[in-house]
Amino acid sequence: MNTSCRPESPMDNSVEKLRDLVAGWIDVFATQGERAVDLLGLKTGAGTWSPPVDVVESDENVQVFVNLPGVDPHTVEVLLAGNMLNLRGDVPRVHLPAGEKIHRRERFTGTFARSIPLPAPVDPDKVVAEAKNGVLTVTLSKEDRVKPRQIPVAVTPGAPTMSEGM
Amino acid sequence: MSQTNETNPVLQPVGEPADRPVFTPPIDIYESDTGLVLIADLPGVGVDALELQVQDNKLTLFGHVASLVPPEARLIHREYEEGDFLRSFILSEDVDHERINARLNGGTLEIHLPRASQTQARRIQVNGS
Repeated sequence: MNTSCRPESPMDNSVEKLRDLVAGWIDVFATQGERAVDLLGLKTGAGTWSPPVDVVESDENVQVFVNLPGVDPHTVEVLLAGNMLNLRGDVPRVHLPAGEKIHRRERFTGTFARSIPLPAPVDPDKVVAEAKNGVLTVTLSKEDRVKPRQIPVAVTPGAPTMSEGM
Repeated sequence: MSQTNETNPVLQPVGEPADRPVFTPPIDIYESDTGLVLIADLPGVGVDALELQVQDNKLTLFGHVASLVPPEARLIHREYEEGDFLRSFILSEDVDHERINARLNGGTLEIHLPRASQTQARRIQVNGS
């Protein structure tokens, strides 16, 4: 079938639309990682959700921030596998005594998991995770070889120094 | 007489740019035998940065979120927008304002709103002649 000389048909249009849609999905996956599954409304396994994260980088460290209100920091699993930081834990649901009534339930509860690709190689022995006011901060020290380093310039005494011009 | 001219500290945090976004925190509300329990997620809000106010039957909570990001850091990936938390509730008449109490624990705020005792079931003695 020769498609090149055919004027634009509804079929072409829908193929274009589908192509755009899939390209959009691939974009979301490339930038959001596994959180894309949630954003696109596709469900991963048994009721896990992925919390949003912020990732920042300084000369010395890579830091990851996650909002986990109501989560006991000791129950959060922080696992570094190569260049991938994996977080996993559970947001407990409040247990109601019998006879209590729920009026509103907006807060997230249940198991969460998130894998975060790190922007730089890090030293697995220098990882600190701390929680404050419901925000978990994971500080990962960059590998020495990727940290910026000042190279001292040795000057040999008595050697001729460069001068401007001739 | 009117209180509208008064500066409301809850709605005007000092020293912050006015264009900072304000978010509505998610809440759970439960009803127990003694009253209502309200739980709000306020990650990043410390006790010093939380204001809880009851005025004219309106309960307002405002939480200021301080940035944890060091100033020299480069942002690689951002999924949170920086902003503060604000939400208000109209309390029903039967909430005992004097006995409202709240507790902030690891980013969640739990507010207890006890029901005033006069609205609890009470047996009325009927006297015969």
